[in-house]
Amino acid sequence: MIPPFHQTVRRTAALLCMATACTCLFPQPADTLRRVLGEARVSAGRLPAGLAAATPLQSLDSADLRRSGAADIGAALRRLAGVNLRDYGGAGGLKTVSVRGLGAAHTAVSYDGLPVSDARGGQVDLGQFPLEQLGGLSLSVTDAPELLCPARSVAAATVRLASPLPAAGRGLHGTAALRFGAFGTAMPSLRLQGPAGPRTSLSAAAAFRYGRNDYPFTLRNGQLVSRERRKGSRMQAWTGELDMRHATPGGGELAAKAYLYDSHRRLPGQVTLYTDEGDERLRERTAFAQTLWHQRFGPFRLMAGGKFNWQESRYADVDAQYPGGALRQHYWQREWYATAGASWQRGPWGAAYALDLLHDGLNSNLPDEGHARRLGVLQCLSLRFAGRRLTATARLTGHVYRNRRSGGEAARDARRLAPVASVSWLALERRGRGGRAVRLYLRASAEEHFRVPTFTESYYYHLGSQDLKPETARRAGAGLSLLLEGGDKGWRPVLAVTADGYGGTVRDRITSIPYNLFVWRTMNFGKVRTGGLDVTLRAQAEPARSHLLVIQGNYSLQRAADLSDHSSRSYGLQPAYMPRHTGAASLAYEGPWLCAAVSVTGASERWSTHEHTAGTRLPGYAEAGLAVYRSFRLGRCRLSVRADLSNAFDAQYEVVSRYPMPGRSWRLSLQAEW
Amino acid sequence: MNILKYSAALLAATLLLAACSDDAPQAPVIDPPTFATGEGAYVLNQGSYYSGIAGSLDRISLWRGTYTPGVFAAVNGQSLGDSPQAGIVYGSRLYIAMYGSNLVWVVDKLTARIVKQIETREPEGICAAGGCVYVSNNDGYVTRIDTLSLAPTGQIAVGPNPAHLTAAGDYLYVSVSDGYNSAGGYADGFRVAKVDIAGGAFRKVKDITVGMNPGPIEADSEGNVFVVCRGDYAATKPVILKIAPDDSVTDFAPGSNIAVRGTTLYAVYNFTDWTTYESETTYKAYRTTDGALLDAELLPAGNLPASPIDIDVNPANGDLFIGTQPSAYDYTSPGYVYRYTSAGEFVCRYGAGVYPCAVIFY
Repeated sequence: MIPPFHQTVRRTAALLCMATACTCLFPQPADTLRRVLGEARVSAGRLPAGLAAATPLQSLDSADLRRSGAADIGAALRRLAGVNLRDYGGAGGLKTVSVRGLGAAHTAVSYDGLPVSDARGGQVDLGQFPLEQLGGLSLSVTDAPELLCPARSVAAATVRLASPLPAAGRGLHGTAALRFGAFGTAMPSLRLQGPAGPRTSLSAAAAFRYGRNDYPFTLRNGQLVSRERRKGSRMQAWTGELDMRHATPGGGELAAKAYLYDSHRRLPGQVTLYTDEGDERLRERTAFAQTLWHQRFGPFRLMAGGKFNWQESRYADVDAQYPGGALRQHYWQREWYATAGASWQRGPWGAAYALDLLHDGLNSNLPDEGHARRLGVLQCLSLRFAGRRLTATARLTGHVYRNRRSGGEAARDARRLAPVASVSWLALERRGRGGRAVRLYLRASAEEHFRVPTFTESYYYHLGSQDLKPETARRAGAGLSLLLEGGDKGWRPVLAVTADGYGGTVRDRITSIPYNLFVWRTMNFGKVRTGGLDVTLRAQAEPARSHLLVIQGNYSLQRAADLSDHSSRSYGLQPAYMPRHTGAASLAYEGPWLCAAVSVTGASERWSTHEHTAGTRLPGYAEAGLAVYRSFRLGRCRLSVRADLSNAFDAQYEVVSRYPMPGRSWRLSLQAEW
Repeated sequence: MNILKYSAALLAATLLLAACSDDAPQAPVIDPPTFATGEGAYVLNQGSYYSGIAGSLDRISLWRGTYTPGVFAAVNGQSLGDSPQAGIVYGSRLYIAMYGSNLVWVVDKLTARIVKQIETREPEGICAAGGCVYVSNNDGYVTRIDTLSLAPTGQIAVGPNPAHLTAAGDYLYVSVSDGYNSAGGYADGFRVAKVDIAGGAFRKVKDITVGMNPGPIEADSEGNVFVVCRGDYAATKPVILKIAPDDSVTDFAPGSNIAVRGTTLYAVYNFTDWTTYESETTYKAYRTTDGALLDAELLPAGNLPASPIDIDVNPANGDLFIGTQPSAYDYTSPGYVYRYTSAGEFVCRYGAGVYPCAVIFY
């Protein structure tokens, strides 16, 4: 199924040839070229986005990502405060995100403005989006920053992914890159962008990833210590994207996107003592097409969008113990989604209304699950006052979900109202000579969010229950943003700090309870109390012209306590896989000759069981990374070369028990832009 | 030196650990050293594979009344492995079927020291007869292990997902569950494979039709075989069927787990109705020969296991041992082994490992 490596190399070479051919076929205007080359100069970083937002918003654009030392999307997500990444290790390992102590199903993911969903499992594998194909990513917590947004974007947490925007006013331009590294990983990619009219730009991108992922790890079994390798973890994935953006007269935009993803993965499974047998395979394919339109009409702003998403997941565990020699679980999901809304702005006052319609369908090769369907109608009414110092937003989102199922009982319908209120106040603003400035924002928010049961929780054979109620999360938080700008002279230092504390509860938690080793059931069971603190820091300085130092850091304290059952052993304890402390820090230097970034990420101890059973403690870890990169001109191209050393001190650790993470690894990236 | 070190560690652990936990529901009764035969027992803890908890082996000294957790790891300096299912003492050795780790451990029954590691795929049930140990492999086979050479000497196909097996007379009786075919209604199961092992033979003779999803299987002293048909954990409830020596099959009693000593069968019936979330658990004793109900309420209320996993009977004196989770919803923290006399009187509760699935007497 998975072609051998030499085929991969051939494909890589073919892609590079294509890239070269494109360069030759479409000569670039000289002014465009100058602009491109001009970008090679070190430019001071922007001010961090989201400082003035009433709810926490963290953004990392491509420059931030470059300077953070993150080599993959998993590492990038760890740069966001409040995030708890569940990572099964390696390039093909599942990567899901939970935020502020809520389950991953509370985290919404959007790509270029519209949601990426998984009605079956409720959590999106972010590993399918190669970091190199993204123009940036951000995390909004509690609420969406925009007044007018799809009702679905008003989530407890939303990871927003964005593809790179075409450069305005340029002819055909593009990027071709080849990245390869340890454990047989290779990734050629190509992106072509250009105008297709005075107001329209087109973009096409393709990327291929291959990895043997047979990284070594240390296995400790009592007094036996051995060096092993991950086996059966080879993966390959294709991603293809087509984008169109059209600037409509009067300050609007129509964007359309088509996306294809096809991956074959072998799943190494968890490390089992005394044996490394196992043959699990997963093929996933996704295709979606979406369009989103924004338009201004005087004080009004209109929005409309639609999306069709198709997903296929074919899992096989090849083992003679299963009927037919393999356990095969195939799922097909389809989602139709439409959103429309309008906002009105007059002076500091604004109001918005958005209506979302969605229809999810799931069928599988498992006879007991039937054909499940869900129709959702979401309406969101928003009011905002945005004065010079004070911004206050109130939203009320109404959710109605109707479930239907052929060949079995359907899950319970659900109706809920979810309110969110937030306020931000510019408490202090001082401006001095030479651009010196101090700004301090204070903010507070209160919210209620909920999630409906996933199709797996409702229908999976023997596990699912059709009686489940939605899981409800209530939370309140307060925080501050501080910005210090040192002015235009000297090192031009800038320091931005945010700190946000929160506390809340989760009721009617949806959880799976075992009946025996083979049969589990899903129930609404119990209550969890959450609380924590998220801190981000960004500092930059220019010690000399064209020399830039950037420090980025984030720290999260997450405390959650299971208050479901006073007599249970997990009562009051931190839930499984939730570290109390997580953090990341990086220091980047960018200069005319060489750029470098050192980084460290880490987490404190965790347990693989809710009861903190002896022997299930996963010790804390810290891993350090080093990146060296620079760009230079070669003919009409700007060439970028980057070398990454991840986990430089070869820390052996696990995020998920028995799924060892890769040790020290290297990666080399070559990129040509023209 | 290592022997001394481990012995010292074991001794220290033994002295530190009380036999019966103080937090048992009622005041524990100290185990009196009254056993003429039967020196001790091993408790096999399955662990929780998906929570990264390996299996473990504990030891109960029946005459001293002490409980020593983790003896395998302490003696051998390495973990027992993943997902142990069953064990048997035969001769001077203990044989443990390690489903997850694809092996059978052979350990000395007195010291728990490893004698041999025998690789075999997905072993689940285990029994012994005629100088051989037989293991049911979940991929459809029964493997014969010679106890002198400690090597597999044969393997026969019996059907999909053989669960447990027992020896009675000249035959092995193997539950063929088709347990991984729940979506297909366990259709290729519904049978017990009868295997001739007389005089060095090792061949399947016939399939005996039984109920849905057969699992635990035991023989009495009269050559009758009792098999638990576990049903589908939903509409079809667990029942015990009796296979007479002439291979005729009759309904015997409701039950999800059994232990047999002589002509007495101890049955645990444990069933949860997932529409109401209500569980029903009963403990009864039957006479195997005629099915007479000997004790309709074998265990008195007040000292009952929270969520029984397994029941075993000490062949030496008839004491009952029931492994249990700490609560119905807790499958990842240490469970207990409850001990009762053959009349059902509570003796004490041992703090065991995670998911104690078998008590093996020696």
